[in-house]
Amino acid sequence: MGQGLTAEKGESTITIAVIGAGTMGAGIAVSAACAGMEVLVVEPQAEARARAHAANAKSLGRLLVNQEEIASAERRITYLETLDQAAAAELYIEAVPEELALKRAVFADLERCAPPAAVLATNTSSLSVTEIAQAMSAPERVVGIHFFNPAAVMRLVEVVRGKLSSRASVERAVEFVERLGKTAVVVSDTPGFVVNRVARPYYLEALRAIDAGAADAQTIDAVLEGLGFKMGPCRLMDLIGLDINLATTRSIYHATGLERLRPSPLQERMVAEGRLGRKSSRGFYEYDRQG
Amino acid sequence: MTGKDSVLLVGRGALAEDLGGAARDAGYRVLRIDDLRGIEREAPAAAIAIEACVTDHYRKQEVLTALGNALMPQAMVLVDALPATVAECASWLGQPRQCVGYGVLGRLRAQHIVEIARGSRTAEGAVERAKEFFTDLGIETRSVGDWPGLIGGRTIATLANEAAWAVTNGVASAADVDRAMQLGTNYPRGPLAWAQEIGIDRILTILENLRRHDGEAYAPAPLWLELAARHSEARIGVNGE
Repeated sequence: MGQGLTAEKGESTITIAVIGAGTMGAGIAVSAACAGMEVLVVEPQAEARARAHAANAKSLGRLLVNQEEIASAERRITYLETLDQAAAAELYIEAVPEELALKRAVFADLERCAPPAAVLATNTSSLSVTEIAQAMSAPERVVGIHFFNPAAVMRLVEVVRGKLSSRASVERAVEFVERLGKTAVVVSDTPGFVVNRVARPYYLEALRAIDAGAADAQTIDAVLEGLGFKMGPCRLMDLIGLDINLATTRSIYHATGLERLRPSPLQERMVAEGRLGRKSSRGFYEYDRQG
Repeated sequence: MTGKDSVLLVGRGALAEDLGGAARDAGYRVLRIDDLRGIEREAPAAAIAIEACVTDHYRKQEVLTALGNALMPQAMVLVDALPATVAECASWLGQPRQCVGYGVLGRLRAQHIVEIARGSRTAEGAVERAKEFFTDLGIETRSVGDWPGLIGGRTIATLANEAAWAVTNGVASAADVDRAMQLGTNYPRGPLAWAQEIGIDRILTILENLRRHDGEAYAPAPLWLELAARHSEARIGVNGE
């Protein structure tokens, strides 16, 4: 797990900035700090800043073994209130909530505050990188760097080539991902990119089979785990959260209009009834309150 | 039951080979044939018949019709339920009560669980005998309804098809799509490599089955036709033709 997360000797230290200290932003900051980078976390809300600080200290303790390493990685992360204070990074990664207007506002600020040579990246999973960058005067600097949750652990990162992204920006994003010790896959700017889109049938076909009365959740999970999947689709949806899973399907369906990706009425009903999976103690399966 | 039943296995390729081998290892008397006259001759002695035509739809209809005419009425018939529904197979067979679907995707040894599908008119006794047969072979079973492609076949075929659409639409290369799915979702194999391992013609047969029953949304992505064409060219090359 910790493989490749330590700094490679001899490479110059780089500074990155992460905008937004939610789950994803915090995870990205930890990944970069483990790889020896200087990290500036920009989060206007004091409470969210404090929460991220505590969460990051905890995950660094889990990811790194040596006390000295943990302390120095922690020192490499600086928590800031405004973007003006983070004016000296080479790469900026926006990780604010998935709202187009909010993200566009961040990128307008970035264009004002960041050095002209810096690459500007969005961690969006459901919006178009091209649309986010459209209103900027230099949209070629913008790329997508899509991490998977938990960001500090998952090895894959999708580097999204927007319609306006320059080749140099994409190359620098790939280089950054490789310096994290992760694998970059370059994808074009299409709804759901590769992973979220290609994974849809895994969930949708399970939901359709249950809705049609062809099989129950236990049977479906057993059959697919028997084929080698680590977790059957129903257990996996319970873990992810049915509401989160449905939101991903909805956003890809609305952006593509593809009939085969149409959200499942069964899942809509379960979400409406509050059967969200583990977090509500009830999804396809029942869970103890204690978790 | 005194001694093991006689099994008449109709089909060719890895599926028939695997099922025949496993049944023989479990002590069944297995007769494997691949011609219609052989069916007429051998069927009356069989207590179990297994159809394993895999991809050839017209062949499957011919074989099931011949089996229906030649088998004893009490013989149980296992039909490959990935390319066609149990209801379709039962209509060709003409003996719906004895018709039980099974689903094996790829090699039998790689599969820990075999799906057993009942049609609307399948007798309970026939389902029980089908389960017993696979249990005898050391393979777990799970009962499912008559659902096009069953659970495993349908899932793998639609995942592979979505991966193929992603390549066709230029989202990423085939190798990158597979790598992304393995690292990003922990799938045991990339969907495209997995499909190739199972056999692209097999995946296409499942998708055509889904399309026939559930509509155009399941149409195979154009990438498959390219791959299938390249595959048959390669085969011609190997044979030196």
